[in-house]
Amino acid sequence: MPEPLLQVRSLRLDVKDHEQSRSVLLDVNFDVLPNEVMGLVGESGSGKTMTALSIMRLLPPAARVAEGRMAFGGQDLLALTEPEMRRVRGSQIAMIFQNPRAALNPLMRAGDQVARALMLHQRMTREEAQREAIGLLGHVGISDAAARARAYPHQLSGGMAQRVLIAMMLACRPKLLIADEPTTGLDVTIQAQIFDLIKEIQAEVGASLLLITHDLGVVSEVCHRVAVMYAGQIMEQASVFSLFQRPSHPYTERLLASILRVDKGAELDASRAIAFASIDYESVGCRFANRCPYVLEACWTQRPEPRWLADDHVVFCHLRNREAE
Amino acid sequence: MFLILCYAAVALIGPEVAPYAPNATNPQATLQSPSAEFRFGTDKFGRDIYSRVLYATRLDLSIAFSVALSAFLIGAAVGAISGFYGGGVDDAIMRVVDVLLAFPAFILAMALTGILGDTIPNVIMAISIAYIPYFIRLTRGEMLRVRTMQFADAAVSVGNPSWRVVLVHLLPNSLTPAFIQLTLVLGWAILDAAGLAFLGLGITPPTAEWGVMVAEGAQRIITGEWWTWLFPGLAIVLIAFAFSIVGDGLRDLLAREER
Amino acid sequence: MTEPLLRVRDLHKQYREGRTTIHAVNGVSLDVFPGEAVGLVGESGCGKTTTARCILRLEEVTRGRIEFEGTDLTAIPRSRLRARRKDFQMVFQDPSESLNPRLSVRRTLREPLQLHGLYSSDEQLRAAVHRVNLEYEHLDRLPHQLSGGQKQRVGVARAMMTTPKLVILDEPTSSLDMSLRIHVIVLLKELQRELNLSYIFISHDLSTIRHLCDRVMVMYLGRIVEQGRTADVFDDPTHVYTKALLSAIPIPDPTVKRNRLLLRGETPTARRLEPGCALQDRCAFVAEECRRPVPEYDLGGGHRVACRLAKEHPKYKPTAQAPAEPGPN
Repeated sequence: MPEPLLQVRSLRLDVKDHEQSRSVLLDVNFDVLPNEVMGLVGESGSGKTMTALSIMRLLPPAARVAEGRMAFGGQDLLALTEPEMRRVRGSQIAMIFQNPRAALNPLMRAGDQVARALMLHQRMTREEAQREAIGLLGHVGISDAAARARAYPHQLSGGMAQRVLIAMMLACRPKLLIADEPTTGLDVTIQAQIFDLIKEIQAEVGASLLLITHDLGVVSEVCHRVAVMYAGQIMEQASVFSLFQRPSHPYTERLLASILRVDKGAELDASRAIAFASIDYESVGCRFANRCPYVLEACWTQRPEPRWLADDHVVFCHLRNREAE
Repeated sequence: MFLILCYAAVALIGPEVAPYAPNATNPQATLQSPSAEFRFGTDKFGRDIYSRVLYATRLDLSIAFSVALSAFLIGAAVGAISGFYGGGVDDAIMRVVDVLLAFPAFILAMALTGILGDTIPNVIMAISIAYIPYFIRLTRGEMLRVRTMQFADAAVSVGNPSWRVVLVHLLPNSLTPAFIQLTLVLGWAILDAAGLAFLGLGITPPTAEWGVMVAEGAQRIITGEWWTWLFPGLAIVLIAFAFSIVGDGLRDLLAREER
Repeated sequence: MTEPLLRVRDLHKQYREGRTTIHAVNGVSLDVFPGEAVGLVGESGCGKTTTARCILRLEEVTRGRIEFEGTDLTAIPRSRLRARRKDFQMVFQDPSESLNPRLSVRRTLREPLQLHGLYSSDEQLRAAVHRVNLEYEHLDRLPHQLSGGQKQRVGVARAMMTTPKLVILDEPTSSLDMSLRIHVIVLLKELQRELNLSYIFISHDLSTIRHLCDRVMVMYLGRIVEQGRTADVFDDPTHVYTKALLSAIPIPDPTVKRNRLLLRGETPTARRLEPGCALQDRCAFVAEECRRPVPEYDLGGGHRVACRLAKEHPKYKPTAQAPAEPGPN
C-alpha cells in the first residue's frame, strides 16, 4: 500500500457535558491514501462528523483531543498552532457540509464567493478570479454559469448550492477533501448527479476524498476503500469489494444483513439484523459488546488489537483475533 | 435564581405584620430618622414609613398581578384567535396592535389614566391596556408557528373538532413566550404604577403606595431625610429585579422542556 | 372483484403562494383495495404528500372525488367526516413534530379512543404500547424523553388505536438509521396482517417501498407517470422518469454494474401546467406526441405507463378505448 496521505492513530476525543466527560471517539484508526475516495460509514451517533471536525480542528470548545496522532503529508496536525492550521485549512484540507445553502454567505453572490476563494488561494486578481469562477461553475455542471454566478444562495436549489461549494473547493486545490453527508435532503436523481460529479473531480484533480455517509449504497458506488464506525470506534477498514464480499466484524455483517435493496425484493429476516439497544458510550473495550451475538469476556474491557485479513483489510475484533490463534 | 424567587415571594406576602396603621399620623414624631421604634423612620406627617411600605406591598402587588393577568388573558385570547383564523380578522387586529405598540407603554398608560380618572381600578385598566398588545403579538406568533406543525394535523386526523384542536393542542404550546412576558410585565406594571403616582396621576396621597411615597420623599432629597424616599424606592427596585430574574429562570426551564 | 376501500378520481389541488399558483396535484386517480399496501413514490415536489393530505381531508381539494367505502369525503359535512376519521389514520413524517410536546404518551394514545367513544380501560393503552415494542412505563413519558425511534412507534400506535381500515404513512423510515428500518418494516407488516389493514406508503426511499408494497405508483409533478405491481415497476420500469429514478439509487453491492439514465436539469416547481407529459423539458426521448396529453398505456397485470415508450414494450397490446379504471386487473 502506498504511503498514506492522512493517518489517524488511536484518536480519542473527550467531550464535556455538564461536568461529565464522555469519550465520543475512542481509539479511532484509519488511513486515507492519495488519490482515492475513502468512505467513513456509520449510523447516527457513530462519531463520523466529530472525526471530520477533529481532522479539521474545528471542534467545539467542550471537545478535547485526549490522545492520538493525526499525520497529514508528514505533518502532525495536532501539533500545529492555530495560525498554521488556518493555512492548512482550505488550501490543503477542505470540507463541505450537509446543508449547502447554510454554508454559503447569504449576502454574497455565488460567483463572487468562488472568486473570493480563488483570489485567496491562487492569488488571482479580481478580474481573473471572476472569469475563472464562471469557468469553474460551468465545470461543476451548472448550466448557464454566467447568469448563475450572479445569483444569491437563496435563489439556488440545494443541488446547485452544493455544486457551488464543490466549485469553491476546487478553487482551493486541496490535497484532501472531506465531505460530510453532502447530499442529505437532496433528491435521489440530484444525489446521483452530485456523486458522479464528485468522482469526476476527484479523479481529475488527483485529490483524495474522505466521504462521510450512512448510506452503504453510496459507499459501494463511490468509494474505493471504506472504514466502518460504531459508537466512536473503527470496527473494520477495507477496500469496498472486500468489505461487501467478506465482511468480518459482526457489526458489519449485521449491518449488511439489514440493508434493503431496491433491486431485490427478498424476504425480510429481522433475526440477522442488529438488536435494539442503546449505544454504549461508557465502555473502553469494544462498544458493540452489548449488541454482539458473539461477545466474549475481553470485549467488555479491552480494545481489540488490529488483525490484518489481507493487504487492505483490517478488523478490530476479539473474536477474529481468537480465531486466528 | 430560584432562591431570589423564594425570597421575593416570601418577603412580600407578609404585609400583615405592620406595627402601625399606614395612615396614622403622629405629629410629635415627624421626620424622624430610622430608629428602633420607627424602623424606616417617619415622614412629614409622622407616619411610620415601615408600616406604609408594608401596606403598600399589598397594593402594589395586587396592581401588578391584576394588570399582568388581565393583559395576559385578554391578549392571549385575542392573539390566539388572530393567529388561528388569519385572514381579515388577523389583519384588522394586527393593525390595531401596531398602532398601540407605537407608543411607549408608560405614555399610553399616562394618557389612559388621564382620560379615565385617578382611581385604582382605572390605573389597573390603563396599564393593562398598554400591555395587551404585547401579549397579542406573542401569542399570535406562536399560534402561527404551531398551527402548521404536524401534531396539529395529527389532532385533526384523529378526529378532534376545531375548538379542541385549538384549546388542547395549539394553545398550550403557544403560551410559553407569553408566560415569560407575564413575569416581566409584573415588574413593569409596578414601575408604571409607581411612575404614574410619582407624576401625580392615578394613585394619589394619602394612599400608601411606593410611588406616592417616593414622590413625597423626593421633595426631601435636598433636605436630607433620605429614609423617606430610599425605602419605598428600594422596594420598587427589588421587586422589579426579582420578577425579571424569575422570568429568566422560567424561560430556561420551559425552553429545556420543549426541546 | 372486490370493491376498492378508497377510490380517488381526478384529484386536483392548487394553492396560491403569493402571486403564483402552485399546481401540486394534477389529475391523480387511484384505488386502494382492502388489505393491500400501495406505495406512492416520487421526489420532493411531486405532490405525493399533498395527495395524502387531500385524501385525509387535511386540505381542501380543488377538484376531484375521494370515496372511502362508497362515501364521498369531499361532500359530507364536517361532523360526519370527523366520525369517519376513525377508519382512516395517518402516521406522520417527523416523529418529533407529530407528537404534542405537552401531552404524555398516555394522553396522546387515549385521545383517539375518547373522541370516538371507544375508550374503556387502561388495558387498551397497555396493549397498544406493547404491540409496538414499547414498555408500559413509556406511557407516562413526554415526547422529549423518548428517542426518535420510540417517538415514531408512538405515532404508529396512535394511528392504530381506533383499528382503522386504512393507514397512510408519510416517510415512515426516512428519519431512522439503517439498523432500525428493518425492524419498523417488520412491525408494519405484522400489524397489517393482524388488523387486515390497507396501507398507503409515501416515500422517496424506494428500497423500503420495495419491501412493503404490493403495488406502487410513481409520481412526478402532480401526476402518476407509472403504476403497477411492485415487481413490475421496479424490475421493468418503462416510463423514462421511473428508469431515471431507479438508476439513480445507489445499490450497496459493488459487483452490480450501473447504467445511469440522466435527466437534463432539475425538477421544476409546478408553477405552470404544460399540456402533455410532465417530463417533456428534461427527457432525452421527447417527441412531438409528448407535447399533447399522454394517455396511460396498458402493459397488462395492472402495469400502466403514461409514456410513449410503453408502445415499444413487448407486453403492450393496443386497445381501442381510453384507459379503464385504475387498480389491479
